[in-house]
Amino acid sequence: MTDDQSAENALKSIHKTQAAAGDRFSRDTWSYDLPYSVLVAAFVGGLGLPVPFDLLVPIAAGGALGGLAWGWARKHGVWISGTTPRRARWVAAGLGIVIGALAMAAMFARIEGGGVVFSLAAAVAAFVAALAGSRWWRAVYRREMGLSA
Amino acid sequence: MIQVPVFDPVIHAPGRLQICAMLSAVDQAEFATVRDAIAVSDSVMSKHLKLLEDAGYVTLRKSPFNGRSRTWLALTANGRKAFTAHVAELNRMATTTFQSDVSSK
Repeated sequence: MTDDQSAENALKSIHKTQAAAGDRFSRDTWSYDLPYSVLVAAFVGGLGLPVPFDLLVPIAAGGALGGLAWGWARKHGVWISGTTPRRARWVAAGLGIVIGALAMAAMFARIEGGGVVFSLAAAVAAFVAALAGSRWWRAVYRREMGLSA
Repeated sequence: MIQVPVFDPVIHAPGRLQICAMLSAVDQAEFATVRDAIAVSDSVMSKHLKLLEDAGYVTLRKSPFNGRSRTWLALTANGRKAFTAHVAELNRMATTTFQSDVSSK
């Protein structure tokens, strides 16, 4: 291809295709984000529960999270890990750090005898963080893909 | 990181450009999803994918689902790099056109 109008057309075509792909995955997403946040909360809160629930609940929640992601990818025909595009990646990394810190806090509280109340508090905080983080991630993703809010 | 603009004839064909554009927006996409999005037949889609796969730009992974096999596509690191370089070149060409249009007026 050598003519410059074709370059413009090619860029338009790229943008249109990327927008269609992004739109397919990032529209009407409460049905993913809500169960995702509940499962993250169960994972984090579970780590603060007494034995053997400190193992059983996080494993069950982790498995369910995997199933949720797998089902979503099957339904929509696309899989987005959250690591692209660039700005959305930072939101995903930030969310991972917050969830990781809450998980560590829940485990530490269990070791220190913090009790179920602390575990519940960590779960609530994880739910809020996961829901806010996933909504924010989608907003950033849609903006980077040039989609309307 | 700034990508050096490089025109890539393998990527530039309209169908392959759309395939790469779609795959660049996601981590993986299912064959039928991409085929429907770019509105081509199975055979045309397969030909495009063969060329992209031979160039090392795309990987194909078969995954069983409900007794049938589904094919998932993904851009390789090289493919993502080549696509970014190609888009940079298209942007450079489009900008050059715009600037020459402005200066000729």
